[in-house]
Amino acid sequence: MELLNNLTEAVKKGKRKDAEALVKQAVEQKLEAGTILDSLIAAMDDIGRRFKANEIFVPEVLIAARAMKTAMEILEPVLVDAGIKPEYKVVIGTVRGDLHDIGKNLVAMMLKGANFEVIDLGTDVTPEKFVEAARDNGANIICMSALLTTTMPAMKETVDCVKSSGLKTLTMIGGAPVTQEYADEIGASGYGADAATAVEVARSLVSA
Amino acid sequence: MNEKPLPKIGIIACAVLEMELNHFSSGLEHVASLEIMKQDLHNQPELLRAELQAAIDRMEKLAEVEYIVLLFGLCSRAIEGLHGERCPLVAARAHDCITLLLGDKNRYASYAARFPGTYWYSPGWIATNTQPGKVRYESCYEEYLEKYGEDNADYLMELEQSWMHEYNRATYVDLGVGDREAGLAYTRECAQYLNWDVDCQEGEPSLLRDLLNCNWDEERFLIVRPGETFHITTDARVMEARKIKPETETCR
Ligand code: B12
Repeated sequence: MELLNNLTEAVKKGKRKDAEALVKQAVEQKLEAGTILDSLIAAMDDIGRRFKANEIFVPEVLIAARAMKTAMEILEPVLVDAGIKPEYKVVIGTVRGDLHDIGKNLVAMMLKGANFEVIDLGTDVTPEKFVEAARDNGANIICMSALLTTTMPAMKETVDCVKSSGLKTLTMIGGAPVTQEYADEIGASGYGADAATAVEVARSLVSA
Repeated sequence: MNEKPLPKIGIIACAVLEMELNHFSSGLEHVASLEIMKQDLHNQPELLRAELQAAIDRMEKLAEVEYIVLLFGLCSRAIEGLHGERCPLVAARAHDCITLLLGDKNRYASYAARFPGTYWYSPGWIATNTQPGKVRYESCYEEYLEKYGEDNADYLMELEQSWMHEYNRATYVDLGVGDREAGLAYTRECAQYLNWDVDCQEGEPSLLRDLLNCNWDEERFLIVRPGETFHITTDARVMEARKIKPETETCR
């Protein structure tokens, strides 16, 4: 569909105003909210993949994410009206000592798009704070991001902290230096290499 | 001296350490070859890894080279997978160049724990990068304006500025190389523009010196033999040697 293709393209290129106009048009034309959402997610999927392949850089990711966010703000009430309500909750944050949050924000946005309720704790989040927020909100998954090899150990501490708290909350980790092998080593429930995979993994974790 | 002569080494270094390298390697007769990697590769670890492996392959063709010394840390795991066919590879146990400048991984770790909002400055960082400050702000804006238009350029600059508020300290590491006064003045100017504290840490050259002089103890250095590569450990050892195994075998 031409309109939705244009919407995908506008988000990919970070053309916020075009994205805004196109999503409004789509809503006016009474296209199905879920379908409109899919075209937005397709754009971010592509952005995540091309960033990983070094074809685009951080600024491109940032402006695309902003266009996505603007479009989502218009679409969200429509989704709610369509009866699409979040079933699961995640708590997300960047681990202690680490201030990088671009990837984390992208993952948060994609999870929201995939109908998760997302509680974002920001950056430099201590293990205790993750656990407290998970308990207070009854979260299904704690999502942790780390971009520094020096802060990866804080992920292990958080996983340990969750275990010793007695909570049954699942844990998912990610960030450029993080691997599946590391997730296995520290006993995290899941790992996602990029934002699209994060969604797949989160879905399979909660439905397991 | 009646000691055994030092093995011949080839050195591959990041441009961010070029000045320090030139200073501490000058006059060393066992240095058979030297290559400098572009500093901006560090933002693309996979590309950096490929370029490093290519440099290793080139150096191994020089028959006199016995060991290849890497002036790199883990650098976002870029050194994982690197291997020699003939020569062992040597690196300091370091996450990145800041350890090499400070001279001690534990000192780096405790400083970062105490002041997580630190942005590091050094002669190499200043020469190869536009470090956060007024100049960077202005040149960045021009570039974004041209590439992404005004709306996006304004947004990107606003974001970058907001990141800079997460920091509160510019720390210059002085290893006695380069123009200390100029480096410090530049760091101060940036810090003032960004409203950060300034600190100057005296670097400790023994780590770099021992790396170049083949004084490689287990505690501070890692040697990986042909058939092995570097692997992150996420503990105080920073890295360990790991066999490069065929896909079918599982690791440990
Ligand atoms: C942008 C950036 C910054 C910005 C951060 C702004 C911000 N608010 O995030 C600024 C300039 C502030 C910064 C600061 C520093 N940085 Co920096 N930074 C980067 C850079 C260039 C890009 C990171 C990024 O945003 N990528 C874009 C996103 C989209 O990708 P991503 O984060 O990987 O996320 C994707 C996946 O990993 C995954 N994912 C991410 N999180 C999660 C979480 C879950 C649960 C899941 C499932 C998946 C997932 O999905 C995402 C989307 O696909 C990287 C280099 C690089 N190219 O990676 C260096 C880098 C990470 N930084 C580095 C360094 C050294 C620093 C500083 C120490 C620099 C200094 N001189 O002081 C400070 C550290 C500050 C601190 N305490 O955190 C090093 C780290 C080296 C190391 N030791 O490990 C890097 C690798 C650059 C380098 N090679 O030197 N940095």
